[in-house]
Formats: sequence, structure tokens, C-alpha cells
Amino acid sequence: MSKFHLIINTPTRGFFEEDVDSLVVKTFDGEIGILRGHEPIVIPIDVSPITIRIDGEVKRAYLAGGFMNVMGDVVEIFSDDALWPEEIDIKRAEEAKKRAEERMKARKSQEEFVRARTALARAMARLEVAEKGQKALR
Amino acid sequence: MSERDIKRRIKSVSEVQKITKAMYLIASANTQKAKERFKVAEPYFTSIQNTMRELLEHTDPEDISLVIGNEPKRRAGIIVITGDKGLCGDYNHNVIKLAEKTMEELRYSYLLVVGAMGREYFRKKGYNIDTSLLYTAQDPTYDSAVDIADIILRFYRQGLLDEVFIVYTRYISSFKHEPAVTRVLPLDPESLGVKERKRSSNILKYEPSPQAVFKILAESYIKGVIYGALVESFASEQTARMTAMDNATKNAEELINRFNRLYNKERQGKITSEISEIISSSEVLK
Repeated sequence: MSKFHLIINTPTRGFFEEDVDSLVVKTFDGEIGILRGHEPIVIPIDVSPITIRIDGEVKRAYLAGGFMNVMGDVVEIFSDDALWPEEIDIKRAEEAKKRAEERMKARKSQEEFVRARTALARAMARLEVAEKGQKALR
Repeated sequence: MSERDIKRRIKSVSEVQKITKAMYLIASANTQKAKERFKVAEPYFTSIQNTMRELLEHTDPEDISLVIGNEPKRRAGIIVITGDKGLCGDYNHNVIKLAEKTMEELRYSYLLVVGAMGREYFRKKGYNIDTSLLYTAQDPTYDSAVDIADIILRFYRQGLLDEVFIVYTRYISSFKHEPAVTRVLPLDPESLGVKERKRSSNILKYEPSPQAVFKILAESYIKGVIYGALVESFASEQTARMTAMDNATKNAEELINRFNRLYNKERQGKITSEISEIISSSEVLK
């Protein structure tokens, strides 16, 4: 398969830069797959796991939301934070999930609720990536 | 001063020198760290800036509320970034002075201070500062920039603030840094490098709409501006401290030398007078 160049940057590190076959990310309207020759598009990304395929090898990573910029054969993603499965602290993610759930139940204010919901989404995406990543290793 | 007094002084000065030397080393390690962070963050924000510029050039930002409108400016919010500690030359003094000048020029209504030195200063002067965020200037993280950005964006959207400025110290080189004021909100298309609008030539597609994309992009950009200011100020503070501590170490060296000479002179004088006493007494015995 023909490849395109994928760059993933965060403010604290350059996360990923390689030629890849395909990429699947989650946007606010659902998942979107990118192959070489995709039409130029700028689109926000939801907090979610992303899937990268290179020569039949599947890589998964966690992305804390952000942006994707598709320009010809170069795809740039900028996100506040990105993690590989092995970098995710499962225990911490589980605790964060529990905390967020409790905060959602407490129903303090609209703002508090939205904040708890994003925290929950982050924790769940982290857990999903971590679990899938570990299965792949086995 | 007696011989013993001089010796004591030498000892105390050399102890101070040890401390300034250690502080110099710590500051230089921190400078390295800050520079590293700056280097890593740069490509990220450059690409956000480029995407934003493209968006503004190709689409119509009329209903984008974050971009500059020409309404009369009423309430300005000011973010001031100072250090947590002194012993860094005129670093804190300069940035506080500029902040006060900016506050005089604008009718500010909201003040957020990062760093203990600035907070202490403005509190003593009786300014009303936001104490809900007590960030230290040490070790700037992206998360603290996100928190600050969230607060000012909320106030901006609610209409409590019409403008937001950030007063920080720009890092120019290891020897040069100067206080600077930058407007964070509303965004200025010209500072992003937007020259002219070519509305028709819309090559890129923006999903779900250019406005929605711009809103999220602008938020990331503002976070980036604040993070950049935090990191630059931190780097400036550390280099300022490096220079100050280097000077202090040199001064201590000089002081020790002077005291050593004084001590030797004193000692030599004592020996000379002892010898002359012995000689004169032996003269008497002859």
C-alpha cells in the first residue's frame, strides 16, 4: 500500500513521525479513516484511542483530543497529550475513572458536570488503549 | 581588626560563596531544562499558528468572536508572570514595573499573578488579585497554562473581560531578556501573519465548519501563548539568577582575597614587631 507521512506533536514532546499506511481517529461525528490521497481537511479530534497501521503492524495510542490537518501526503495531528499503551498507568486511569463517575453523580453544576464527563472520557480512552495494547503484546 | 576577626570574616565569606556557587549550578541546570522545553513546544505551536493563519486567510471570520472587533475597550485582564524567589538581579523588579505601567495605561479589572514575588508585591500595594490560582513560577507545566487559559476564556465569553494581556519576560539570549506585554485576547489576525483575505480560494475543507474549527484551534493557541510565556519567563529568571550568582561568587572571591592580604599584612606586622623586640632586648643585654 502506498504511504503517507504522519506527524503527531504535543506541547511536551514530538510524539510520532513516520510514513504510515493508514490512520483511524475519532472525530466528534464518528470515526474517520485516512489513507494516502485523502482530500485536504482540517478537523477536530475527540479524546480517543487512535490506530495506526504500518506494513501490517498495528499501533495504538491514546490521544487527548486536538486537531488533524490533512494536507496532501502529510498529515499533522496536534494534541494536548498523547501516550503509547505502555506509558499508561492503568491504576491511575482507573482511579481517575472512579473519581469522575462520583463527580458526575454529585451533579454540582453544569460546568462541573461537563468537566467530569471529559475527565471520564479521558480515563476510559486511556484504559481502552492500555488494555488493547497489552493484548497485542501477548 | 585583629588576626582572629579577619580569619572569621574569611570563613563566613567563603561559606556564602559556597552557597552562591551552588545556586549558580542549580540555575544553570534549570536554564537547560527550560530551553529544552521551549524547543520541544515550538514546532507544535508553529503548526497551530500556521493552520490558524490559513483558516483566517481562506474563510470569513466575521462571526468568530475571539478575533478582534473594534468595540470600545472597557475591562482588561492582566496576567503577570514573576519569579517565586529573589536573588536574581533585577528580574522581578523589571517585570513588576512593566506590569504597573500597563495597569496604569489600561483600565484593568482583573489581575492574575503567577509567582510568589509578584503576588506578595501586589498584595502589599493593595491590588485585588485572583487568589483562586496559586501557581508557582517554578517548573512551568502545560497543565497550569491550560488552567489559566480556561479561566480567562470563561471570563472573556461571559463578557467580564474585553481584553486580556500577559506581562512576562521575553527570553532573547543567555545574557539578554526583557519584560514584554502581549495581548492574548482578542486575537489579532495581523500578528498571526494574515495579510489579506482570499475568501474565494477555499482549498481546504473544515469539518464541521470553519467557525467550529477555529474556536477549538484558537483555544489551543491561547493555551500555547500562555505556556510559552511561562516557559520563557522561567528561562529568563534562571539566566538572571545565573548571572547574579556568578557576580556574587566573583565578589566573594575578591573579598576573600582582600581579607587574605589584610590577614598576611597583620601577621607579618606582628612577626616584624616581635623580631624587633627580640633584637632590641638583645641589644640591651650586650
